[in-house]
Amino acid sequence: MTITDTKTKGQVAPLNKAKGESQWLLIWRNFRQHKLAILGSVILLVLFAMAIFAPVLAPYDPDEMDIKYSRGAPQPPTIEHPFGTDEFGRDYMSRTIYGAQISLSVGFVSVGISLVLGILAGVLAGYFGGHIDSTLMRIVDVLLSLPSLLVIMMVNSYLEPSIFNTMLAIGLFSWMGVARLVRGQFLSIREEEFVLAARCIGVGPVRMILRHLLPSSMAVLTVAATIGIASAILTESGLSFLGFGIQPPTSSWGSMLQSAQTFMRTSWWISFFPGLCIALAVLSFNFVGDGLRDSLDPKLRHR
Amino acid sequence: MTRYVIQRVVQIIPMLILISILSFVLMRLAPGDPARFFLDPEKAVEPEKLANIRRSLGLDQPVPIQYIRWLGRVLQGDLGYSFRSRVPVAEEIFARLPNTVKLGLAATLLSLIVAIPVGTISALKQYSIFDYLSTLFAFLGISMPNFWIGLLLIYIFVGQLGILPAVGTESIPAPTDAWARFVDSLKHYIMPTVVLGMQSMASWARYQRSSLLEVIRQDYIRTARAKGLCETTVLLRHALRNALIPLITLAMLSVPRLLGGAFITESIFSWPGVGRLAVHALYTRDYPIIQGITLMSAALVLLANLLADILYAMVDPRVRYD
Repeated sequence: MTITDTKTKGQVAPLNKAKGESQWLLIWRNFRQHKLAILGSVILLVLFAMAIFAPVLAPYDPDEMDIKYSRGAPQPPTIEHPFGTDEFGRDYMSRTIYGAQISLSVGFVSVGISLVLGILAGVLAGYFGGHIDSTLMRIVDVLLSLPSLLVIMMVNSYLEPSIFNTMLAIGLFSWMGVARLVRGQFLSIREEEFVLAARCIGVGPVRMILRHLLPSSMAVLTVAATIGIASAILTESGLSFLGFGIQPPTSSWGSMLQSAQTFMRTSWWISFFPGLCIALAVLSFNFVGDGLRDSLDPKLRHR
Repeated sequence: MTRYVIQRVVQIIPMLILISILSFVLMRLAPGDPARFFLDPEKAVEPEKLANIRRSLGLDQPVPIQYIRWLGRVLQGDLGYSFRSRVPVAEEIFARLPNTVKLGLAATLLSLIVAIPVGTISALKQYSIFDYLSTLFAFLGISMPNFWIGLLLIYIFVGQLGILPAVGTESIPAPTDAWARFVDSLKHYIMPTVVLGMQSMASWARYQRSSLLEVIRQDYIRTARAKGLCETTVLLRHALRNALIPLITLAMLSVPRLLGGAFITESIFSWPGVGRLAVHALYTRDYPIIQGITLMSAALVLLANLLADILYAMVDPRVRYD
């Protein structure tokens, strides 16, 4: 029995799976056709390499000050210091490279936390429905109406300033979107035949959720996670910029921008490079997320 | 219709209560004994004085009672007093609210003025160079941290070219001539407005594009064309009207969020608004102000959602029979 084959030239990968071809390969083929997504992935690989190999790549120690060189003001880019230095004489390129570690890890961990909370809430609301669902959704609505940046800053000011607390604070206020997504998925899948069939043979709630309902939400969750990382990086940089996230001397790109404020009128490199990295990271995650969304959706045709 | 309205209003009340509880809890979680704020932090404190102050503030009552008393005061408009300035919180907020509102409205307006044409043309000329470029710019607009753009703009226009001011809503001393004042205001507004509106400009352009694309494929558009109407009429009288509804709703819903204060933008440009007040209050641990702004902002967002739902029900009959 062959599955009907919808081979259309240059478009979605053909639906008939040859023996041994996994679903992931199909998704990959779709993804490959998204030029922007590929570009995004490449940029992300570069940024990751920057973060992982920072000790090897950075020409100087990011915390090494050279006040004699800087004389209290940031110095412009030269051959020795391609990104210039800050007012303490610390090489900016090294600081930017090391900043990747902090910014990227905050992005990932925050999204991890928000995924855990969001999936939990979404599963409870979507599977059990009824009063649990409406109560949870009211809570979600209320939390969504809070000015998130303000509340995150508030929470951060209560806790001791540390990287993990920042991650926690961001994660605590970004799980709501994930919860809604998971709940929506569950609600739409609940009446599908395979779910009813599983229920008929007596599958219990835990197994049902883990083996049947959640896997169908994986696609949506992956896209949400990718875009969530982009948003978390932006939030972290905003927080650090205002002084409520990562504290100096630990440098994330956002906190570098914060220290840039004093010299922003005269030294363009102080604001330019960290911000460029933030923009590239967020852009790439957005591209990849967009590409993933298009390639995971079987109904969408890529031109 | 009235039943729908009543239903929605009733639904909102527990959410408002929940928000007030959340605000109260968040404020009480703040480290430090509130009573100490009224005393000189340097001098040693006699326990009797401390107990007296606590009693006068009602801090010796159990927490739920404190909450009820606090709620009663809030409903009468008393949001407490700032720790730093001893001025009522409500007064502090309302003194700065006009500036924030003006900036927020300006940003929303600018975003709409840019997003609607760009999105429309992108949809009409799908896959063209314009579409490609505008998609790219939309992505850039959403991804670039807007304060970074702000810093770069300040570098270019203030540091290098010196043609725009970096601080505040108007120059000191303000020019006397009405026209000069207007131009001066404009100069002060333009950078913060662009920075604040950047993200919404980008995402609304994308939104308008996909919305119009969806509308154009509808049958009634095909009917209109089949009737022989020229393309412009089809576009203006039928397509755009329907495509704009969700976008306008989105725009309306984003305004109350801006009233909570554009913290980052106001900080960079030293804009005397609610956002900068909030950031200062956070630096100085002035909790009554922070709490007041949080409460006000969240309540406004909820109320705006309610209003939007009601308006939607008035406009679109399908929504009412939910």
